[in-house]
Amino acid sequence: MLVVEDDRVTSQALRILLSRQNCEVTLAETVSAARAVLRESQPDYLILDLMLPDGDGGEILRELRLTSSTVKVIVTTAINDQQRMADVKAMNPHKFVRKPFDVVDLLKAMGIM
Amino acid sequence: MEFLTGLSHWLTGGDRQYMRLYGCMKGDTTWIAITVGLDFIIAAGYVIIALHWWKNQRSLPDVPAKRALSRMRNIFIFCGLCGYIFIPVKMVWPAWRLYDVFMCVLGYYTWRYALNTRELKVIYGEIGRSTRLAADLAESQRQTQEKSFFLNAISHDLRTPLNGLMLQASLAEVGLESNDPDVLRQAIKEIKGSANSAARMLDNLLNYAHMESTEDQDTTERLRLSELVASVLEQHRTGAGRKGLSLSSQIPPDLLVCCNRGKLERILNNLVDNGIKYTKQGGVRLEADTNGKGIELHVIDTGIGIAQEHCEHLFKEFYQIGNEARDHSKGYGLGLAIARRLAGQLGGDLAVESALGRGSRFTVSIPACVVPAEREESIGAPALAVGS
Repeated sequence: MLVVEDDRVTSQALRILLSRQNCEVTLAETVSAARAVLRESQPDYLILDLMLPDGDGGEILRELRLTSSTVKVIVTTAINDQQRMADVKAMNPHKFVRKPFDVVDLLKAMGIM
Repeated sequence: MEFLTGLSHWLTGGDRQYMRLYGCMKGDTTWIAITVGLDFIIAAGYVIIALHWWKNQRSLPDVPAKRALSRMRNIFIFCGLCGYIFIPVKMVWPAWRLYDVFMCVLGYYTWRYALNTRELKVIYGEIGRSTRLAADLAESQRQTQEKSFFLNAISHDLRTPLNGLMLQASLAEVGLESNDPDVLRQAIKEIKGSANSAARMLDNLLNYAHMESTEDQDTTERLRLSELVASVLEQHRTGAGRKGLSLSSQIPPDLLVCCNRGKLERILNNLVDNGIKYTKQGGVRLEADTNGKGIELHVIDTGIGIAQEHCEHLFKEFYQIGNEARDHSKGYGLGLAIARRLAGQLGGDLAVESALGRGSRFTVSIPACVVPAEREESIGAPALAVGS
């Protein structure tokens, strides 16, 4: 599982919480770091934040849609822009979760709970 | 054929000797009167059209419809000029009757145009109105975009620490259930950090809202500028020291001004804080000038500088250069917006001059009354000398 999140508090909490559910978690803070991880491996799930320091996380989702990738993408975001959210939803992510979210919601979205 | 030859002969002046200069004027007063009359009729039509254009069309914005109408006007002017250029020609040219036929046609269309100017006025009005509507729409869209940006920034800046808080709370639960004090301790620490971050954001927003609601309350007091600046610099000395930056000021020690202390202090605090945040080496310096209108305070840093295209947006709420991810360690993007608004409330302004890689100079201009030191006796304490 790849967690792309630039907020350290969120990413560290997700790493520990998901690890306890026997998930192997890799963290990436930027779009470029996420691309590098995806080039090396194909995780089952990608938890993707949209506003990242070096660009738009939505670009990763777009790139995955252009390939025949089977990675399930769960988009998490704190933005409130309806147009932007509609654009992201149009790219068919597995789930779209708005921040703040409970880890239970995330686990349900992944079918773990 | 004979008819055509006769018509051609008649149109070109018949048997009269027109080739002599003004020869056609002699002995043919009827035709001369008709020709001169036509000239005047056409001239009157053109005067009406010119007045109409001067009154109604001059101020129209440059839109495609106006350009089309301008082309139409130019054709008319061209035809009219042709007509008048031919006045001397017709005096020597045998085809003056043909010319009069042309003048009749031109006169007809000129007056038709002149009489229709009232309808054209409506068209021009509509063009102007639609242009104004387009401008209003663009302004409205711009405001909506700004509002949307403002709300998105607030949403993001509040939801992010709340999200961290929620996940860390889940982690604390896990720590509690598994009896793992390390996880619990770390989670509580992060919860405190996230709560503080959310509280700071709320404070910033509430301060901003409070500042807007108390815009009219302004109490001035007499203050020694060097003391105020020293107090501001003192508040930032620890932060600047941590980055190895110098803080200094060049304020005349006896400079006394009448101003709202709280607002001026906050402006300077925000500017110094901003200077320290974006300076890696060197430091921040404060200077003051007086002029006939009041004081000018300069906050000069040797920081990374600001590109020209960013300068005009710098004082907008939540505008941060190179912080698209809204990293809160770089602030919330409200400091400069607040500083400019406060400067406006004091009747002044805040401006910036900057060059990339060479630092920035923020100038606060305030129409504060400057009190000469010799008239001030109640403040006898020596000014603080500030330097790093």
